[in-house]
Amino acid sequence: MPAMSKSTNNPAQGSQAQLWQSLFNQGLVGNDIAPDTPLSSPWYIIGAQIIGGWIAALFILAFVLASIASVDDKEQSILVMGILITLGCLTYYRMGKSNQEFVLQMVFAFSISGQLMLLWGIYDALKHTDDGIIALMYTLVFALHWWLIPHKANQFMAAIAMVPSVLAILAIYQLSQLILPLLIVSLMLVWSQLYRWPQCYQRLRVLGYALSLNLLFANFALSDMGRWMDLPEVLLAFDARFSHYLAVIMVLLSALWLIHQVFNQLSTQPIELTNTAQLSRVKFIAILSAILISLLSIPMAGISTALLMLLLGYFYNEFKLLALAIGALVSFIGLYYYSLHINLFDKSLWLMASGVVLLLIRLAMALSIGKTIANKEQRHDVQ
Amino acid sequence: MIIRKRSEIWQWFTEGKIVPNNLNAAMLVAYPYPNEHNWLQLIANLVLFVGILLLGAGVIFFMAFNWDALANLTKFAIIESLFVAFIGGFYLANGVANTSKPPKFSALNAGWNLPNAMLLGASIMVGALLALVGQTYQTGADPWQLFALWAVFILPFAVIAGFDLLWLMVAVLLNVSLGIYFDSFSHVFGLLLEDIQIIAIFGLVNLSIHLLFTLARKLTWPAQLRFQCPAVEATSLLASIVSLTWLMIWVVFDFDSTVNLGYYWLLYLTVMATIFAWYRYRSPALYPLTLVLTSLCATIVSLLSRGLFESHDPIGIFLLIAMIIVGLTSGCLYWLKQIQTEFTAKAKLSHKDASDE
Repeated sequence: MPAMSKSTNNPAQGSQAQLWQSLFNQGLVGNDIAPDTPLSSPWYIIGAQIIGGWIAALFILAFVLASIASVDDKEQSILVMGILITLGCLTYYRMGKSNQEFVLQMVFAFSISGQLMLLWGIYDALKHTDDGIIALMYTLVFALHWWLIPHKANQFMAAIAMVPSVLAILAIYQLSQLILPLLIVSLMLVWSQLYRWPQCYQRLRVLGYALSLNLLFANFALSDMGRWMDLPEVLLAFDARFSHYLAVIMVLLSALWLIHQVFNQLSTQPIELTNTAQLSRVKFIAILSAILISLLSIPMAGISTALLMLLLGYFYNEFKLLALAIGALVSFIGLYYYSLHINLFDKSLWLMASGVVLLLIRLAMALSIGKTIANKEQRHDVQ
Repeated sequence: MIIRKRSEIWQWFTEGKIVPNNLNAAMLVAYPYPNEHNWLQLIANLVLFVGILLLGAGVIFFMAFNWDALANLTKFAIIESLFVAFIGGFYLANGVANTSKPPKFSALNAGWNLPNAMLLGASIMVGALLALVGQTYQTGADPWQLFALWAVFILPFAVIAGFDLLWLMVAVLLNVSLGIYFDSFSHVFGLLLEDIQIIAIFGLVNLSIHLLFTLARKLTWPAQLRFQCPAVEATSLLASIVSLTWLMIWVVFDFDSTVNLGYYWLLYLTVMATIFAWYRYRSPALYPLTLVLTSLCATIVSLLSRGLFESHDPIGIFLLIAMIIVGLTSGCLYWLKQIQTEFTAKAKLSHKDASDE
């Protein structure tokens, strides 16, 4: 184990060294000496960093607003300040060499603050024109940040804000029925194309998470539960039912495509547990389950979307996406109580019937797989 | 300590140590696609747990509808039959799992298995049964009692299962019952409580849940394995620290409070110092330290903001506070990264010692 002995002077690097050695064994890296790379931060540290950055950004914004309070043309000043700060931060992100935490956190806070000023300024400058143009400008601002900034927390914030800006354009131009289908198609496209452009891997991954979060929120907002919230009327003034059916069809098609991908990938692996006939039977069960769950989504908004995300998270080994999907699944089942489009009695029947069907599928699977294992054991005994 | 392999590979890629064409293959070395057996496990667990959740929710909705056409006896019979079916299912599944035969579907991890799914179903039925008792006999009980009793009655199931999801359900039910109680009464044992005291109680209750699970997991005793619930430990600690931080922000901005605020400061600082010392030296963990530092930063920023309100020239202070926040958060980040390296080194050394022995 030359790599291990060479690279474990600092024991913290041991696990990294093992990973590096695995890559070397597969011929994916040039040498067997693991580089001395700092450990990456876990999600909760990045979360704390984002919270700190946002609060600092709000104080910076307050400082700028208080400073220009006496200026005559406040709207224009804030736009100019926003442009200057944003450009300064973008330049630093592209050219700056310092990796000091203080500098990075300060640039992050200034960047968020600059973006807020820019949004304010754009709104004030264009408020007498078409709302669609404002939404388009917002989209451009966030897209630029998402594309140009390598800082993960900032990139994530830009991606999270960019998606609703695009959706707002659809809503303003009376194309709201396309919101859910577009989100679902984008989600599938982004996750399936993660490695197509290796340089864009991190960008696409944060966009994948941004789309997932926005999709869950859109499902919540565009269903009857959205009435709880004081949403803009434009978001709700469309044929929700048509959009909903379109979304269910898109989820079903996406799930079928994903099942196809999974079985394609499985067919390249050596089959250990069962035979090809078994695999076809499992494929049939998977397709049947996808269709049943999609039908269930007609009365129960969000369920199929959460399940699709769960499958995506499992297929691509994205634990956070998996956890998000499980949380969403439980929430959507619970929130169904408040859905107003059918009465409580019908809702309870839908839920009980679908629960029983799923449990029967589970029983059929247990019997089917159990029989296969028993046959296999029997063959093994005969041999 | 687990390293985040995806981030490591991405970092090596950005440093040019992995060529673009190999990025996907390198990620697949770290995170291979699930195999056929993994998929079967996932589908089996998915249909099982989603099926039980849907069935349980359906029964609760059905009872909430209070259908007149159905006699009370029939309603009780439905719930009790399901409850008995789930308990019977648990005994059967548990019996199968304990025999020498290998299980047909092993769980995703220790908790996500058929016996625990049956106990989850039984726990949901307990809630439905309690609601039906209240609805049928008009017991006059307050809603908080339903949730509190539900939590108490499913405690044995949670102990038997030792399953994250069931323990999480107990913790959520306790919090909900506490919330409903304070929403209606605002007093304990005849003592009228202010909002600030209610927040403190929430913080302390969740801290107690966290302590209970931490100690039960640490101590060597027969039921040790039944309290291995990292999700409950993490969420109860988060709930506790969020409540205590909110408490301190309230204390800082409470200009006309009638209670002695010094006690809250003492409580907050003692709790934070204890959590910090415990997870820094006794049981090294990064997550609690991150929460404590974030809470302390929020409290310091609140103090500074109060000073800002009392200041006559706030313009410059806005920028000063912003820079202090940046300094505090970046200082914490820097320190946490150092500690992360130290903890990883310790974990690696203890792992090495254990394998040498």
